[in-house]
Amino acid sequence: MKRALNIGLPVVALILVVLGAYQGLVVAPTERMMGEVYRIMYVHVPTAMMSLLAPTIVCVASLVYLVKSSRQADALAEAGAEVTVLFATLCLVTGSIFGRPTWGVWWTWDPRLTSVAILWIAFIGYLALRRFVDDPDKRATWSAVTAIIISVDVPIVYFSVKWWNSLHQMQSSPNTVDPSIAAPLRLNITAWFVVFLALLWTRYRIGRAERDREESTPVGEPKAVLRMSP
Amino acid sequence: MIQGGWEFVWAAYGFAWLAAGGYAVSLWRRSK
Repeated sequence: MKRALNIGLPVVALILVVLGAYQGLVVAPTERMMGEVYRIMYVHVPTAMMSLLAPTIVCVASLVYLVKSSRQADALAEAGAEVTVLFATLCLVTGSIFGRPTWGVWWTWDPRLTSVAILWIAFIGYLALRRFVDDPDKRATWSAVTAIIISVDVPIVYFSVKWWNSLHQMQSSPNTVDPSIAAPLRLNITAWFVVFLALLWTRYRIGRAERDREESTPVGEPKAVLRMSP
Repeated sequence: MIQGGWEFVWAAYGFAWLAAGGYAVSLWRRSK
């Protein structure tokens, strides 16, 4: 099972991303108002969705850690935080590239953009916090509390376009989008979801291996010994 | 008024593929 996930997920992810790119760049028609530029949506929307899914997983894993003190949950939270930073970066950069030709600016302090930027910075801070604490139990507890606090930004990001007067468009419904444009979007969302799973699973395995090493090395003892010949 | 076209599309796709691919390679190296 684990071997199937280790090899199967990255292979399926790669195939789906290639198919999704073909659909988005070649098969999808030119849009009447935005021309070719709208094709950025096929990478921006999926990465934006993953940048909200990842911190949701971090929040749930952190709650599980606080209840059960499960090292697996802590490893999943750490993996999810790293993947959050990746997808929030992709969301912000592709959004900025989308914004220049459509809005005329690379960046604006719009509620949606600002709340995603706060999410990105908060999770970089979370990862920095993890590096500063040596004791595994303290690190996991403090990180879990931090993750739950900063995950409050996830619903703020999602609802920001409804709560405030935002330049960013509201969430679209498939009913209002032409099927020739919506179908490639569904495929690209699936493709980036599998990429997300592959990265999360691989990072989780690394985290589990690190915790196994930590358990076999008592706190305060050096993790490596330099042997010098006389 | 939309200014520009494919150059923005390629920039967005290129950045996404390079960043995701680079992170995947870094994970693969760390997992060995």
